[in-house]
Amino acid sequence: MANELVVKFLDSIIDSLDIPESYYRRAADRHRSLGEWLCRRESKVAVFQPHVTPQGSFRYGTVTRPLNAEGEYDLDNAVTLTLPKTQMTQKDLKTLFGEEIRAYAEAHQMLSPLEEMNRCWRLHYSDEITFHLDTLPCVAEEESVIAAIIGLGVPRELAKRAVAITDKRHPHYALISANWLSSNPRGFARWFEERTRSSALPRLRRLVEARLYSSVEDVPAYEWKTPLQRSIQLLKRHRDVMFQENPELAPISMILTNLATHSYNGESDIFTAVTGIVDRMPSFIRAGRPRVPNPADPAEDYADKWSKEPQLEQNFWSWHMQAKADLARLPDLLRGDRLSASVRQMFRLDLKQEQLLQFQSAPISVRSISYAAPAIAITSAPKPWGNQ
Amino acid sequence: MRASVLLKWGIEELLRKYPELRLQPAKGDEMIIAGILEFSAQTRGLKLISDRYEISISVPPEYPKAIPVVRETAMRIPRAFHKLDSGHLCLGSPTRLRLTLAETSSLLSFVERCVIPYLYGYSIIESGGVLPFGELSHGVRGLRDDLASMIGLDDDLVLLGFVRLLAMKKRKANKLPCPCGTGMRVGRCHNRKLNTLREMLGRRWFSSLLHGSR
Repeated sequence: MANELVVKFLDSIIDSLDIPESYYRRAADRHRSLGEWLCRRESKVAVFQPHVTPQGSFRYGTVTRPLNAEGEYDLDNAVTLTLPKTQMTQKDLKTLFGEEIRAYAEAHQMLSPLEEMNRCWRLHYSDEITFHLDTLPCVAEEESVIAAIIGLGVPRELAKRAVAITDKRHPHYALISANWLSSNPRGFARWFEERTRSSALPRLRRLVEARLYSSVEDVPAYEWKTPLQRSIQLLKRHRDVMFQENPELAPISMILTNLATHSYNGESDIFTAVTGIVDRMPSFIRAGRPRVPNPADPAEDYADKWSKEPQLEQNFWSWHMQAKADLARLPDLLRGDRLSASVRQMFRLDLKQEQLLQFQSAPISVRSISYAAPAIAITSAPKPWGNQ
Repeated sequence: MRASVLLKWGIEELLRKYPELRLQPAKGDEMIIAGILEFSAQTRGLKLISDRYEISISVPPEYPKAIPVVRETAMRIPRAFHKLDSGHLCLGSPTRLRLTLAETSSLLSFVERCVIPYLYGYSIIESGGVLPFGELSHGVRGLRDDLASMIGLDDDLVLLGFVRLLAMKKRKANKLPCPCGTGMRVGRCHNRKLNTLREMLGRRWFSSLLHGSR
């Protein structure tokens, strides 16, 4: 067990990164409402039995507050349609699906225009919570593809969730073809939940005993609050702060989530969990492609951009080293006089006076470490020069 | 750049010892460390100075063969002090800095051996003192003086001859007469000093001093 104070401290930091549970419920309502719309009788895609599955951080329970008040929450879902890939082109499917989404936006008086992305459609909600929803149309993969994924060592339980997706950049985008991009967001979510759930069980049982839920299975992921989920929240926040001015250079959440989930060894306190995760993360990055594979479809590489944009990999490593150095400093910071400045620097959070008192009960004068700059004895030095 | 490179360069030690310096997002292939460098420094016979500077260090991908570029970002140090045309701090002659990096490629030691002494020197100047380790003339003159002192020459008249030897292969150079004027061949005269410099920095470095980098 790590230093109890550090654990309490990190727990309180992460509590302040959490979003209200009502947001999660709101997100679930949005998915449900969209699903109902797609299945209604007049819907052009109803014949394909659309099935909406939430994805992304709202599904994993790893959402963190945006850095500033204007920040948008990203909501993701995948809508699986049942039809053979060769029945229509990727483009036709994307367009047909898009028409329904556009009609949904109009019917719900959404003012911002629908946005077409390479693979999905983006809806902008603008009520008191600013959300955008990326909705990804896809078709269930055919058995031969699933068999090939199983052949790579993926359990059937995950592989069977593979889907084919449309992508505007695909050479066969506008052709009738069985050659579509394969993806497996649902398999990844399943894998994440399997790896997370076991450490959540004691808490889930307590929630059921308290009659908040009728069974363990009913407890949504945002209620699990496992050390893995909370570590991911903390690391994402650290990343957000470091890349605030250059978000396009930041390591993407899926890479952090993927690597953290691999690296989590079931530690029960947050400090041991997050430091262990950060230490082990590099060992799950492969030397060759795929660098960071989806465990539910190894051909899908979350770091596929690294080969064309090597600075993205470099920025990942810079983030990783900074995160590691910051976590290592925490125990000393709690004993020192620079805690609140450092927390602001690392996580852009302002500690309240009572938090400071709680974690730094000793008065500054008796604290063991008052910060002192390193002392350097200079014996010789290069002479300054200039080229003017 | 991989994790192993960051580890090899001692970045982690630097971040831990100077926590106000932080890795920054980088758009290109350099690595950027920026923030506040806070130190207490002293040299023999002079007072202890505690000071803090806002700096940014850009580490090129060819590091340690290429020298990091350091800027002072709060505009405290004027252009008239040792700065390059680009506004970068001129911590020392390129040969001297490369020599320091050839001894140890740790960025922490680069900061402590090259950056902090420079800033310490400026703090002393600000308080009305003189630079404790002296300074070089600007331009080629300063480069020559610095090289001459590295080889141990009183004047730099024969320096060119030495730099030519440094740009040659050791075997060839050792057979030539030593430019210092003793009449002995290099192999029996200034060979140790030259061989060490050549091994640390490579012939091409000295060739680039003679002919410009190609």
